[in-house]
Amino acid sequence: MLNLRDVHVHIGKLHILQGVNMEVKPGESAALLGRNGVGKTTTLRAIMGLAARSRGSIEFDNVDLGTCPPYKISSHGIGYVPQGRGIFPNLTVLENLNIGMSGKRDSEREEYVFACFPRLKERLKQFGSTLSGGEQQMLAIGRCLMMRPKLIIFDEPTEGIMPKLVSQIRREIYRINQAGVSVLLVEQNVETALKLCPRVFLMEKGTIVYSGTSHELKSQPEIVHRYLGLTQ
Amino acid sequence: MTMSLMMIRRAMLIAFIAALIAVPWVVPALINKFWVSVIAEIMIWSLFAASVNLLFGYVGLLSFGQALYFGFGMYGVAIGISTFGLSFWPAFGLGIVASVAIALVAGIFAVRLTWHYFAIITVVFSLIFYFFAVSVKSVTGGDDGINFTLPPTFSFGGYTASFSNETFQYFFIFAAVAFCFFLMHRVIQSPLGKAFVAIRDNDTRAELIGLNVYQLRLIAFVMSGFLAGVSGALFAFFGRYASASYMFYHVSGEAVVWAIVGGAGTLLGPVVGTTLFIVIREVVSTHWEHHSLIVGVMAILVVILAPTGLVGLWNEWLARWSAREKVPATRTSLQSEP
Repeated sequence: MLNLRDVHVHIGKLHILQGVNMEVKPGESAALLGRNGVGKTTTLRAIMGLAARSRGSIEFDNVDLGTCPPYKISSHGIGYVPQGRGIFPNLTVLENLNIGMSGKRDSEREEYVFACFPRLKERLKQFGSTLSGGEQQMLAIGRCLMMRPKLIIFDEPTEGIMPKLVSQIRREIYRINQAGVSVLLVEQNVETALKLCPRVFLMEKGTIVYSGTSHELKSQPEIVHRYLGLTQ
Repeated sequence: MTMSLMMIRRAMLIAFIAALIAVPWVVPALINKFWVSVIAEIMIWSLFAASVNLLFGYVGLLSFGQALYFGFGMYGVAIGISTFGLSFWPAFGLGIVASVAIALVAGIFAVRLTWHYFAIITVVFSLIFYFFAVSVKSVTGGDDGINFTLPPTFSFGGYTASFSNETFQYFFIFAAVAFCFFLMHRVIQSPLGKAFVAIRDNDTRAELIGLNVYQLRLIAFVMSGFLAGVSGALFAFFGRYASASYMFYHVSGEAVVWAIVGGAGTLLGPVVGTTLFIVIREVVSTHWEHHSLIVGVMAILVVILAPTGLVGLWNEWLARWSAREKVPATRTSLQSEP
């Protein structure tokens, strides 16, 4: 499904990604973990066409994403839930949900989103800016789901969210994956990532230093300590 | 019985339209006939300010070059009539087509840029064509411009309707401007308009959900050129002439001030801003030649004290009032006002 091979990204003189190799298989849920500044968000930006690769390839369902402008990447089936929610504050909840639908309403899909996040249905005519942080995150995920993606990339979806809502968002990410949508999750909260994702990639200095199952990682506390600075 | 915000706004809009319709009869009786043509002029300039507002208020692109499309609208009409001997409607069409075409050409380059780069390139385009218009006197008449005799607007049987009849002129301008505002309202409410707002809020985010930001900005730019072109063409008919001086960037700058002071991102903001400043100009300029100082001070005060403009301020007040009165709220933000 998603395949990154030897991806390099330079920003100015800085060599941010130094040969990232990663694969997310259909229906899989994978976490990309690492300390701040190791290149996680740049990896996601490279996948979404926002950071130009200097070398390597990124393929999704055998399509070379390197030839796609960012606005076409979503049409291949990749949804992106950016860090800091990423909703449109001056559009209503309903408008936010339908903004990527090229003017067509998909009521069946809307009902699916409302079943996942009933709170959104109660706030249909409210502007995005009037929602709480957790509701905005639900809206960002809901907007992604409207486009029937095959893979959703989450960039720190539980960051700055009320603990009460974190568990709901976590549960919905799990359900989305159970429904057959692949998930690539970037998370600072290692516990959340390991709970949700059976497959884990650890990143350090712009490259993947560990790839394995979350179960295996849990049994190697020295790796967790070395690359994430955590003791289990 | 409480009225919903939507009903209040609708009632105000109807009252406003009714007042504009009554102008040719009421204003001469209450003040004098001169103000009828001032109000017609305000309507034309409001449409011009609306072209700035469409780009800045809804798409987030600040253009200082709208005078270019206004000028093309003017010259399309003037050259069409004086050089090619066109009648009213073909000349009107030529003015609009000319401004849309030049907006498309300029837009192809300009909308690749944003922020100050975009503002600069729009000024540059405007200046290039301004100096061109000034230098090709044989075609444009330069700063002196081109005067022309108005052809009739309609002619059937023995009846002829033309701009020489001031009441007809007023209602023609009113109808054309109202039609353009209605069109703009429909666009803003449509998925296209929502896409414009999404781009203004965050263009990267918009791109990530599949919006072709470049294409959408170009559409907005051309639409804005259309609005400026219609206003320029109307102004040519209104003044019976076209001049290169109307293509100067200072004309664009005035429209930016009118739109921002009135309320960028609101449909009627440009009308309020334009009305305020033209009325000040007309009232004060007869007593004091430095009336522009008042305009400057007012613009600074509004930007500092009411960054959402006068209509934005009004909307905020209305929203607060409705919350206090427990009026069922519909939309309360800057973008809420039709």
